[in-house]
This record gives sequence, C-alpha cells and structure tokens, in this order.
Amino acid sequence: MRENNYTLEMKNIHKSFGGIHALIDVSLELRHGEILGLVGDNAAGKSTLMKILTGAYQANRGRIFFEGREVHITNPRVSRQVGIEMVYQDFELCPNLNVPANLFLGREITGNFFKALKNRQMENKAVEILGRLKIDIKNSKIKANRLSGGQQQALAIGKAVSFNPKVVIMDEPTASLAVMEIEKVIDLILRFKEQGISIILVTHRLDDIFKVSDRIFVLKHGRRVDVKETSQTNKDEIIKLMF
Amino acid sequence: MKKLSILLLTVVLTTVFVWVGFAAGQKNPAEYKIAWFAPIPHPYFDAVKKGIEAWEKDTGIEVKKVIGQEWTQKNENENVEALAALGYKAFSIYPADPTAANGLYEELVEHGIYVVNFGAKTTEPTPASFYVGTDIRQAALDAAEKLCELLGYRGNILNVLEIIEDVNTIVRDKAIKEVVAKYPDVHIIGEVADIKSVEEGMEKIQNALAAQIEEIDGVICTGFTITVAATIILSEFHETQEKYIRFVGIDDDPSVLKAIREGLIDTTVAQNPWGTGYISVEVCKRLLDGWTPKPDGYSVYAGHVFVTKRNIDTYFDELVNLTMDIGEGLENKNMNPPKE
Amino acid sequence: MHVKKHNRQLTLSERREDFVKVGFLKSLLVHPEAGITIAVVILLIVFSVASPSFLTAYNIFNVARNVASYAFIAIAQALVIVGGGMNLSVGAIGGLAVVTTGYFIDVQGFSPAIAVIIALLVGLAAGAFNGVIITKIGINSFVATLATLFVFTGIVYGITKGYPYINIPKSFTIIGRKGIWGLPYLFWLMVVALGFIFYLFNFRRFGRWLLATGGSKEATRVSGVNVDRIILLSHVLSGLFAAIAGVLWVSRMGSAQPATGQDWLIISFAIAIIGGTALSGGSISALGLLMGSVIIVLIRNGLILLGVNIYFEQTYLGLIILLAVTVDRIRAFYYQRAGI
Repeated sequence: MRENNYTLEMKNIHKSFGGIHALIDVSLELRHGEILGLVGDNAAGKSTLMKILTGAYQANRGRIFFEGREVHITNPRVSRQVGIEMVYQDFELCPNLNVPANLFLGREITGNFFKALKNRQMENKAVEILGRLKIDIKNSKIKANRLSGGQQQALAIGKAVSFNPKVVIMDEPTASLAVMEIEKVIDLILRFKEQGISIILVTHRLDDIFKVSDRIFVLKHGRRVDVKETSQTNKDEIIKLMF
Repeated sequence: MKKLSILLLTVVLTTVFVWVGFAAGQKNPAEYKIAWFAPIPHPYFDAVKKGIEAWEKDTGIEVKKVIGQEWTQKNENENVEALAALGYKAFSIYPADPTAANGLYEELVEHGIYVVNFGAKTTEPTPASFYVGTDIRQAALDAAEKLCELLGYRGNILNVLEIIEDVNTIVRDKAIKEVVAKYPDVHIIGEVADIKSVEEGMEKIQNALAAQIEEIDGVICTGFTITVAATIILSEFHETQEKYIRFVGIDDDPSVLKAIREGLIDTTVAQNPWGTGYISVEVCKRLLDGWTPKPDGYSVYAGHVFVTKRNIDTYFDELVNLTMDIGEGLENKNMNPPKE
Repeated sequence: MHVKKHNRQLTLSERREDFVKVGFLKSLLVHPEAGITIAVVILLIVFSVASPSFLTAYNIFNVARNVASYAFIAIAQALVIVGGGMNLSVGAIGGLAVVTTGYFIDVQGFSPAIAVIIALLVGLAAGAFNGVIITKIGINSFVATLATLFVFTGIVYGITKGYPYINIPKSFTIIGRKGIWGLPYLFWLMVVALGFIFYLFNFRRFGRWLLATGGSKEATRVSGVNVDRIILLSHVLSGLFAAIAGVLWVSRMGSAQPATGQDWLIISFAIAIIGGTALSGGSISALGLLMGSVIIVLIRNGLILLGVNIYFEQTYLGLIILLAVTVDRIRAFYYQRAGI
C-alpha cells in the first residue's frame, strides 16, 4: 500500500458512448475528510464520472485507487463494499417500503435462523440512525411515499451515510427542496465532514458549493478544466471556467 | 385400304370416346381436391378425422386435413384461404363462428368451390351446400326423454347449459323444457349456464348441487365441457354420498366413458363424429362429381346413440352401421345424381 | 391519531413506541386488505341468512376447495405482479403441469409422486424460461409471457392432441377430494402456501428485494441488489405455483384435462388485484390473496344458492366486485385523511 493524502483517486478516466466521448482523460483526487464541489455545464460529464464511481458504468480506460489501493468497481455492490455511497437527485427510495426497509435495502440484517430478516432490530437501528442524524421522521413505520420531500432527502442521505462510508457522492441533493429544507441538508453535509467522511457534491447551486466545499473541481466537455481551493476563488471565476 | 382406314379411324375414335367417357364419369382419385378443416386439436375433431381416414381407405381418394391454431374465425379464414389458393375445390369445414363463417363461404362459393359444414350449422341463409352432423334438437330431446325415463318420470332436474351466446344452447334448452313439460311430476329446479371451461363447470355445478342437495334427482348436460365437469363432480359425489343422482350427458370423452364403465354415472349421448367425417367428405366428392342438393336436403344428420355400461364396448359399431345407412340414403333424401 | 407535538427530544423507547403503537382501527385503515375483509364478512352474513344451504357441510367443503384452487393461481400471478411484471402464461404453465402429470402416470406408468415432481420441475423450467427471456433478452414481461403462452399451449396440444389422460389412480385424488377437520386438504395446503408467501415477503431478503424492485427498480439496483436475478427468481416461483395449481387440479378431477388452465388468466389478475396486489407492483398481501379468492368464490356460490337469474350472473359478479373495491377506496380515503 502506498502512502498518500487521498481517500480516492481517479486516474486518466476515458468513457465514450458509441462515438461520443463523454469523458476524456479525467483525473480526480479526493482528500481525506474534504468536501469537493463538482461543477460543470449540463453535458460536461459530471454524472458519467460519478456513475463510474458507483459502478453503474465502467470506464473504457483509466484506473481508480481507493486509499491507495487499486479497485475495480464492476457493479453497485462492489462500490458499496469499497465504501462509496451515493445520494441521488431523485432520492432513489422505494416508495412502497417503510423507513427501515429503505435504510437497510441491500444490506438487511438477518438472523441465524435460516437467515430470516430481523425486522425488529432494523426498526430499532433505524430509530437510532434517524436520531443520530437528527432527521425528523416521527413514525418510521410509514412508507417512503408518505414522507415530505425534505424527509425523503434526509432519509436518502441517511441511507448513504449510516453504514460508515468513506466517500459519499451527492448528486444535486438540494435541487428539489424548499429553502428551509436546503438549510437542513447543508447542516447535515457539514456534520458528515466533521465525522471524517469525504464528500463529492455535484450541484448547479454555486451558493451551496461556496458555503460548504473545500475545493471546486470544474468539468467542461468531458475534460478536467481546473481545480480551485474554494477560499481562493470566487463565483465569477468558476462560471468562466465552466462555460 | 380405304376400308382399313375407316376401321382404324373407328377404333381410334372409339378408344378416345371411351376414354373421355370414362374420365367424365369416373375421375382419377388424384383429381379430387377435397380439404377438411377443424379449428383446434380436440378429441371430437380427432374422431371426425378418423371417419375421414376410413373414407380415404374405402375410396382411395386423399383428403387434405388441416387443423387450425386457435378457435377464431380469423384463424379459420387464413387457413382455408391458403388451402383455396392451393387449388382445393371442395371443403368440409367446422364453422368457428356460425355467423361470421358465412363471409368466408361466400368468397369460396364465388370461386366455384363447394362448402359443407360439419359438426355445426352456419346461420341460415348460408352459402354452404350441406350440413353434416348431429341433429342438435333431436339429441337434446332424446337426452331429456332418457333422463325422465331414468327418473321414473318423477323428480327434479338440474339443467346445465354451456355457452349462452351460442344459438345451439338455446335450441337445446328449449328441447329439454319441451320434454319436461310433458311430465307433470318432473321439474327443472335449477339451471347453471355460461360455462367455458371444465374448472368453471365444476365450480358452478357443485355450487348448484350444494344449493339444493336434497332436492336434485337428476342432472342433464348438453355440452362437452359441462359433461366432463359434471362427470367429475358426480363421480366424487357418488363415492362419498348415499344419494344417487341420475345423469345424462353428451359426447364420449374418455373420462366420461371411464365413469360410465365404473358405474359412477348413467349415460351419455354419443354423437357420431366418425360418421360426420365419413359422410361430409363423401358429400364433397359427390358435389365434385356433379351431384346437386335436393331442396330440403340441406341437413344430413349423422345420428347418435346412448352409451351405457351395457353397450360401452360396442356402441362404436352401432355408429358405423348408422353411418353406412345414412350414406345409402343420401340419394334418396339429400342429393340428386348428375344429369346425363 | 394526530401527530403529537414534541417539544423535547424524545428518548429512544418513546420514539419506538411512537411508531409501534398504532391502534386497531387505524391498522384497519393502514392495511389494504381490510376493505376486502369487511366485504367478505358482510357477504358471509348475507348468504348465511339468505340461504339455508350456505352453511351445510357439503357447501363449506365445496367453497373452501374452490377458494384454495383460486388462491394458488392468484399466488402465481401476484408473485410477478409484485415485482412490476405480469405472467400471461400462468394458465399455460398450469396446463403443462397437468399434462406432464397425466402423461407420466398414464403413459409412462410412473408413480404419482415422481410424476408430480417432474410436473413441478416442468413448472420451474417454464417459469425460468419466462424469466430468462425477460431479464437476459430484455423483452418486457407482457410480450414475453404472451409469446410463451402460445408456446406452452402448443406443447400441451402437441403432446395430448386434445385428449385427457384418464388412468390416474384413485389414491392420487385423495388430496383433491378428501379433507381433515371438516375442510379439504386443498384448503390446508393453501394455508401453508399463503403462510409461505407471508414469510417470504416479511422475513426473507428475496421477498424484501422483490417488493423493492416493484417499488423502484432503479433504487433497488443502486442499493446493490441484482434486480435481474430477483425478477428471474420471481418468474421461477410463479411457474412453480402455477404448476402446483395444475397438479392439484389433476388430483381434483381424477383425470388430466389438457384444456385446464385456459381460463386462469383473468381470474388470476382479478384475485390478485382485489386482494391488494397493486397492478403497478410493489405490494402483496397473503391475507389479501386469501380474501380475494374468498370473495370471488363466495359471490359465485351465493348467486347460485340464491337462485339468481343465470343470464345476469356476470353482471352481479361485476357489481359485487365493484362494491368490494369501493369499500377499499373508502378505506384508502380515510387513510389519507388520517395522515398516519
């Protein structure tokens, strides 16, 4: 294992769909416990880059290192095992499942008895997690489709961070929320940083980025344009880089 | 020399005339282009097919036999039109839809093709030249009469009908009621209908039995599916309950025959599918030979017999005999020979 | 219950109580099967009062057995609906199992136990075939199972030519015809099957993941679940239950009728939907499937017991189903209003 400062490194990533080059030689480094804002125009390749991290896509070329070790993320399960979680713009909850079932989806707690689900234990843990994250959901027995937008986003974030990930990717976490709810989500993000989680924040809302991020990574037409320390740049400069 | 020429010419001409005359009166078997079509694989159609195979053997004439893929008029049209394109000149067809089949027939007849219905009638007026099959009304009359007799002309009947949209169901229902009306001590106390599958039939018949288990003395079924269903229910009933319910069904499905043999049900009306097949293609052949339909000769009834434990092994012979009688009666009742 | 205003931070146990403590009336509102259960109770009372035949041992046995027969078919359908798909070939797979059972007992002379095992394997294989087409080739379940409906039905006819297998030993009919504690074995088998469904969806990862897939395929996939495998497995299970239903019909009929299964499709959807299996996927209830089966059977039974005019039977059936569904809409309305 080689020593370095990065939790995650993506090196020389290429990805094309048919004849279209979505990503060209993109390298990205994520430091321990930092919040990296990822910005770019609509077709800049942000979500493609993130989907390669979560295993939804595979890169045509390039390597990924996690805590200095090379990893091959072939599907979402591997990504989760490595310690990468993603919070999706449209929350990606199962509307028909209740809060604990959503929180534990894909990693349910099972007992020794024929690996039966331990629903009671998952309910208790869910209450605990919600409490710890100060997520305001009174009755966790209710189904996700009966939660408010903010509650759903909080739950989606809770789902991502409650299993001690090293890296959390957030794709437009505030895009569909009301102002009040945005503040809460931003608080949540800052709290994760305190816990030592590295976060990639993908968003159009530069205000939010400047509020929480340590560095800003700019993509344009599938290429890495620049990375700036947030404290040493301003909105105008970033916008210029983006377009 | 001249004499010889005349002699030679006479011989040649005579030979030609004889040949031509022979050819006109007695076609080569390969010249008969007869086709038979049934909508789906089914024991009834299989039995009809066996009758046709027997006829092929007896006459040396081959019949093109085709079975459709689903019981719809559309499927039947496609199959039959394809056969017509192949040059078949006479068809024995089971109409998938009694009314809609007439449309297909009209087109065939316009092209000089003969059509004979087997097994079921098309709605009249129809372009079909003949119907060969069971006299549905008579079979229902006989079945009802038989049940009344089994009941000793006293008792309550459950009347089970098949598909209510079918005109034949109404004919059967009327016939049954006509017979029952003759006997003051026989009553129809229950009716179930609109049955399209054996499973549904079992459920409905059992529901009806449950409703009037004390009162019902006899059951009459006038369709294939419901007879199979009633056989299952009554077999089970007779194995577990004291009461014996009299039964008259229709058709000789193997499961029905088995129950008769085991004494679990009384009797069923065996139609004559073998004879229906045999006669229907014989009629096709005669039409191609130039025979013409007699007025009122449209229906050629193939007859039916009751199958009981007593004649279960010999009833088929009865049907074959019946068939030969009908064949001999064709000239008398249904068709005129070609005019010289 | 109104949402309580909490001014202080709640303790863990208080929070737990908060969502575990849902009152009885409220739980009635929460559960989609509550509406249909109420409708069933109403019908039970009405028929008990209106017809003396309703509560006879014969009728109870009869109703219980029909409920069981339907429940298995409905389970086969619900298992794929819950994952957001459908299986149009349930009846065809059932027919395949019927014919397999009959063929190996009657023609090959195998013992019924082995024939049943083969039939169930055929069901599994048919379900797997559906599942592979849907997940590996990526054809939607409607088209895929529509195609296999024809494939399987064709095989049934190809093997049987439409003839039933009738040499089924008496001992094999015990399961379908006898019972214990006043109810048929079929009914108890159904209880076991529904228990299995309950366990599957409440205590197994597979069940949870299948529910999740029906709720949101994408969310389930990104949660690290192999969605294709779940869908494939659900079709395998569906095939198995369709085959079980088929085998049980052989046992009930005492013969293997090749047309078995042809009318299962609509009933399988009707029961599953009435029983709270949302057509869009994502919900299933063992109790709902039971009540869905009960209500259909009760209505048919009750209508015949009450001597309703047979020609209007379907109309009544439709109206009562509408009534049952309306009761559920009323429940859902109050559920929304209650804000739990």
